[in-house]
Amino acid sequence: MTEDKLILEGLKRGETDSLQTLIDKYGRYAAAVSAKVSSGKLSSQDIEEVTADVFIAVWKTASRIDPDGNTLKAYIGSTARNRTFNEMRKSKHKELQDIDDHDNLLTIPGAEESFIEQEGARQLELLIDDLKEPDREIFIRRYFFMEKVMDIAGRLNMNEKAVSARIARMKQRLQESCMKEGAIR
Amino acid sequence: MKGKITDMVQNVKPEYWKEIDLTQEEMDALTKDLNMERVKEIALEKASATETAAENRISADGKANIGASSLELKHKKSKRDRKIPRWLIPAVAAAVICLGGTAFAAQMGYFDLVYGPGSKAPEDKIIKIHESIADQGIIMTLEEILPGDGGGIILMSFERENGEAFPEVTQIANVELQILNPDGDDGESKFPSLGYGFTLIEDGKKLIANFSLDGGEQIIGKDIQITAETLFSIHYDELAAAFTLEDYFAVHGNILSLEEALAVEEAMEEELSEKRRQDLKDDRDSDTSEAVVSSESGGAFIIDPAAMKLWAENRSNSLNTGYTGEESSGKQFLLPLENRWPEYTFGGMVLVDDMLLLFDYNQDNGMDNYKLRDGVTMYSLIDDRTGEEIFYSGSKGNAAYFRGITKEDLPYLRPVVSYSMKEIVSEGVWSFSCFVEDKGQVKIYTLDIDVPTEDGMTKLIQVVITPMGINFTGVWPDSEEPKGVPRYRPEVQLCLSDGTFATMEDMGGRSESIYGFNDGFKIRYDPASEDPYGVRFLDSDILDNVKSLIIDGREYDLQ
Repeated sequence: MTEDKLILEGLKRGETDSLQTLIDKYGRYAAAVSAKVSSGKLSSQDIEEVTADVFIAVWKTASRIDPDGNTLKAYIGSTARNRTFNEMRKSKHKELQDIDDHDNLLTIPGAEESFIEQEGARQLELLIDDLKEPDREIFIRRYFFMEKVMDIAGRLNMNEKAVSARIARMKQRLQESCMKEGAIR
Repeated sequence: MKGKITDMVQNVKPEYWKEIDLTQEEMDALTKDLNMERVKEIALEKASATETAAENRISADGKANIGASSLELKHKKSKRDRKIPRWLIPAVAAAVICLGGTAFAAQMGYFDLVYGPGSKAPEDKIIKIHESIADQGIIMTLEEILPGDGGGIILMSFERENGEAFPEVTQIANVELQILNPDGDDGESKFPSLGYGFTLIEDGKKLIANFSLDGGEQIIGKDIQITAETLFSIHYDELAAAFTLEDYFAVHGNILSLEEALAVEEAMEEELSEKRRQDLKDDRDSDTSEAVVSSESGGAFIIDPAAMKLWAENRSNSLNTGYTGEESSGKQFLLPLENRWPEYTFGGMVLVDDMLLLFDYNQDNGMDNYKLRDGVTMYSLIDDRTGEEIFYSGSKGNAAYFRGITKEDLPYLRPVVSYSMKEIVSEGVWSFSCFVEDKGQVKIYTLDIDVPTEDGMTKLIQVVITPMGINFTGVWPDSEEPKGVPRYRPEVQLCLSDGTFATMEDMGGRSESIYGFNDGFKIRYDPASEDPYGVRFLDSDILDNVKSLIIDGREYDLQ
C-alpha cells in the first residue's frame, strides 16, 4: 500500500498522527496553491486558515476519498484551489472580477436545467483531456490558478494577444460542446 | 443560461489536476511568509475538536439534540465506534463490521448498521421491502428505502447462494434507479448525485450496499425500478522490484544528459514556439543546470510538457526506453507481480541529469466502466542503504519523476509497484420494482421570504423538509439574468412545537429552473452534526412537529 493510502487509512481510523503526516507531506503544497490562487488578495493568516481547512476537509471526508494514482496530491491541490476560490468569493474580492469577464462566461441558450452544474464539468473534463500544449498550461493557469492573461503571456514568453486568442478558442470549443450536449439531452 | 468556467472548474474531478505541480522554488516563494506550524496547529486543533464532539455525540446514546452547543462526555468510545459514514459517502471499511454476528443486521436495523446508532433514522418513515432475487450465484435483497427530496437512500444486500464469504473489498459496478411510468414504460433515470458505500457483515458473507440519490424527481407515490449490475473485488498490493536502477540502466542505457534531452526535444517538438525554444537554448548555453528551471516557465510544471511527451513517445525506439520483458542481452527485469499480470507493459525509465522519470504501465484492461479498470503505478523507490521509501516529486502524464537522483544512487534504488486489481465476482444483473409509499417523509411548504444578499434581493419560495434535511428553493425576482446560487447563506433552524430547535448546516446549492430557464436556485441544509464522520437524520419527532423556520434569527411560520 502506498504511503498516501496508509495515511488515508489512518485518517479513516481517526488517527491525528496520520493527519500530521499528511500536513508534513502536502502542507506546503496546499499553502502554495492557495497563495498562488489568491495572488496576494488573501492575508497570510487567511491562507493559513484555508490551508488548515483543506486538511480538515480531508480528515472529515477520508472515507469517501479514492485517491487517483494512489496519491492524495491531486485531491489536496484541487481542494486548496476551490477553498481559496470560495474564500475569495465569500469576501467578494473585487479582484475576483478580473476572471469574471468575457473569457469566463459561457452562454448556452436552450440547454436543459442545471446543465452547467451537472454536465458543464464533464464537458470541461473532455476539453482538458483533449488540450495540447501550450493550451493546456494556459488553461490551467487561467482557470485553475486564475492568473491574468498578461502574467500567463509573460510566463510563457508569448504575446498577450496570442494568449487571449488561445483562451477565446478554448472557450469557444467549450461553449460549442456544451451547446451540442445541451441540445441533444 | 450563463455559467462561469471558474465555477465549473470546481466540479472537475481531482484526477484531472494530478499533473498540476509547482516547482520547489515557486513553492518556497509562495509560502515564505506563511507559518506552516500554525497551519498544523489549526488543523490539529479542529480535528481534535471534531473528534471530541464525535465522542460526545455518540456517547450520549443517540439522544443528543441536534443544535445542542455542547454535550456532556459520559462514555468514551473506541475509535471503531466513531467510524460512521456520512449518508452521501461510502461506508466504513469492511473489516470494521466483519465480526458482527449472524443476526447483526436484524438486531440493529439496517440504517443503524450503516449510519450508526446515533444517526436516528426515522423508523416509521422507512419503507421496508426485504425481498430477494437471485442471478449468477448471487442473491440480492432490496432491504429498505428512505425517500428524500428527489431520490433518497436505498439499502440493498448481497449474499452468495453457496453461502461463501465475499473478498474483503467487494463493490458494485453500477446501480440505476428508474421511475416507472403508469403506462408501464420505463421512465427516465434522473438522479444526478449518487453516493454509495459498502459494508461487509456476518463474517464477510453479506454485503450491505447503500446508495444515496439526490436532486432528481420525487419518488414518493411512484413505482420505481432499481437495477444493480456486476459485483467485483479489489485487491491492493505493493512490492519492490528485485533489480536496482543500475541493473536496469546497464541494459537500457536511458541516461541522458540535459544537452541530449534538449536536443531530441528540439528536433521533435514542433509545437514549441520559436521564442521558447530560443530561451531553452539560451539557458542551456549559459548554465545547463538552469535550463530545466527555465523550461518550467517558472510555473506549474517541473518538466517541460513537450519534453515529457517526447520521451514517452520515444521510449520504444531511438531512446531505447521501452521495456519488453526481455532485452537483447537476455537479461529480464520482471517487476513485482508481473508474472501474475503479464498483460501490463512497463513504460520504462529515463534519467536526465538529476531527474529520474518512471513511466507507468499500460494498464488498460479493456473495461468500459472505470470502476472495473485496474491500476498499476510506480510512485516510489526503495533506498537499500537506508531502507527508506522515496516518494515521487511530481507527475506528468503517465510518468512520475524524482528530483535529486544521481548515477551514484542507482545501485541502491529499486522501484516500487502499486497494484489495485479488479476481479469480477459476479456479472449478475439484479432488478427490482416496488411502490414507494407515502409515509410523510417529505413535507413541502410554500414560502414568501425576501432575503437581501450582497448579490441582490432573493426570494425563498419553498422549503422541503425530509429525513435527510431541508431544501430551499429561491428565485432572483429583480434580476433579468440568472445569477446562480447566492453567496450569502443564512443561519437556519427548525423550531418545533415544543419550543426546542434543530440547527441546520449549509451544504451548498445549485441553480434551478423555477419560472424560466435557470432563474433560481436550491440550497440544501443538513441537520447539524458535531461528529465529522456521523450522519444525522431528522427523526420523526422533529419531522412531525416542525412549527416554524428561523432564518438569521427571524421566525417564519410554516403552514
